[in-house]
Amino acid sequence: MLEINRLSFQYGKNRILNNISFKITAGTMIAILGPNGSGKTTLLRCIASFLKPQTGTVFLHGEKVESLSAEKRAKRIAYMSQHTEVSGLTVFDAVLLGRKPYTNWQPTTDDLEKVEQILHQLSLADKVLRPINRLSGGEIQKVSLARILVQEAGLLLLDEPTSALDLKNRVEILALLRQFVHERQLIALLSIHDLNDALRFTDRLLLLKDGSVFADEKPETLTDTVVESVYGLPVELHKTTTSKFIIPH
Amino acid sequence: MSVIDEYRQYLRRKYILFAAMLLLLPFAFLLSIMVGPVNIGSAEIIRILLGYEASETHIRIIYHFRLPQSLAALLAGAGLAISGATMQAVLRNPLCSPFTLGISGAAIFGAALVIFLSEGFSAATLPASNVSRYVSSVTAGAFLSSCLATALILTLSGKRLIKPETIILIGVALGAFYGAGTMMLQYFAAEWQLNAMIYWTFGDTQRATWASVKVMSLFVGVSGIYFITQSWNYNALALGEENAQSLGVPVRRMRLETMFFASLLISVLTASLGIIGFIGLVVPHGVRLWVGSDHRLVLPCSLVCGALLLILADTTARSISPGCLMPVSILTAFLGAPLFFLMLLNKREV
Repeated sequence: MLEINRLSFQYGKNRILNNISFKITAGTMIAILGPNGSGKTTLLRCIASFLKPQTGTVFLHGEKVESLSAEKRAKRIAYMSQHTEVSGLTVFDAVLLGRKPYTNWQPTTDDLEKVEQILHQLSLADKVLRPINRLSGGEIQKVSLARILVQEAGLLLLDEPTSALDLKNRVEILALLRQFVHERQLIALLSIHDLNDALRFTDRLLLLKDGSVFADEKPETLTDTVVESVYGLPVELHKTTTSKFIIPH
Repeated sequence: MSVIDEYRQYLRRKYILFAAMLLLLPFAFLLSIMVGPVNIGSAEIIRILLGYEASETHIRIIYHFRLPQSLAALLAGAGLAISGATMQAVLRNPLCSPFTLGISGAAIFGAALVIFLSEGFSAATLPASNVSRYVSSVTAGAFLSSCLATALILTLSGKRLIKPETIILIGVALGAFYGAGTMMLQYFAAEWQLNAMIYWTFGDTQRATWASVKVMSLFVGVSGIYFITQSWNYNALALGEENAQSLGVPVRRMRLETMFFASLLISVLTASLGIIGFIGLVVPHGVRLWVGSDHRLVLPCSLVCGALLLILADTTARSISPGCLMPVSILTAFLGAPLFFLMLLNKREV
């Protein structure tokens, strides 16, 4: 279980997060939604302990995250940042880095097999030796995703993981992520802009507005009024027998 | 072929390339001992090195001049190249070289200051017994000044939220500051002092002594081991700071430690031999073109290639014109710039 208690963060006098609290149980994929500047990335950074909040604490399975050693944290929390720097590392080497918290110097056959498996699952097996600076933006995002999945952490923090993916890849990746989360009983927090992807693939929606939690809903309970209040834009919420989708006016 | 086999085969090819470079090193080293105003055959060199009887003059030439000079070239080449590769990794800037942080500027200033303060006696009138003390004090001045610059840059870089770009800018500012100080000393210096100051800036392996070789090997050894143990961390940092932190890399600490070891290494190399440019910039880029960007390969290959390149450059500098032992830094700068230019043109993406 991930438990966030009264988390507040500010840069100088500029308050970014204001008294945020929520709990997430294992096997849940949760979307962090909200307009630009609402604090989505800062929230993920605070949970990952990259930023030290002024008040509040983050507990993962009862342990205070900030008191974990860097090594232990890397085994429990995997973070995918919004921008992955491009380097000349090969796809295989970049994904193999996900095994770094478990490996001292020489990766084991088990590490290599895990990398191979994920490369097949993400359709990257034909690009293993290609330098990542020769991949498209979407492929780089898939490499980053592959890296955090081989990290085998219980908590996945993903900052806009599908922003550079085309429709097909987006749907495939989110479905695969959802499958991973449910099968392995992980917790995944995704900062995401596409409300329809959030409605279709995640289990819970956390809507931020001005650094505070405005609504914490299940996809089934989300209303157009909530969306309108958060984004300041009139929307239409449509329901089919299997899903729900939003069309902005 | 499975993905793992493909990857292993790729690694094997790179390791073979590394082994080939490593094999070339003893031959280049032997050649560098052979060449000079007095040519000595390889068989005689091997006999002398193994302790067999040989010409007394040749023994003296080898042990007093050639061997320390060749070892200094090997160590300086290796040290400059690996510190260049690590500086580029931690500051995430391909233009970084061992001299980016202004350490060499500080060394020149330190040496110039000692030369300036030795007013009252010139190198020509200096008693022979005092020459080595004078040279040692200039070297010590260069080393202390670069250590001071290292301490300053590490203190400023240790501030919590400082970015790599800011560290580079601090280095540039520091270099300009020391440059101004050196210019001022040169302006007020006597003619012999000005000559000595300018001569000191030429990177020259002929300055090497057994004592300086011992110090250089200690620093190259310790720093080299530290850098190579951080290879995976440098790879992780190539994906961005947050991604690296998420993989358990203590980014800030590692950056400071790397800068500490690189700066100290550069201080020792510059104080011992003067400034030898371009090796720290050209070698890591060339190595990346051959073996890719994995630091587990880039660092050992830079070490070997840097040593190889400087030994060959030093040997060439010694044999360009009979009777003239040209400082190697002139050649590295002459060769380095066009070589770097060619590499950039050959790269698919610049």
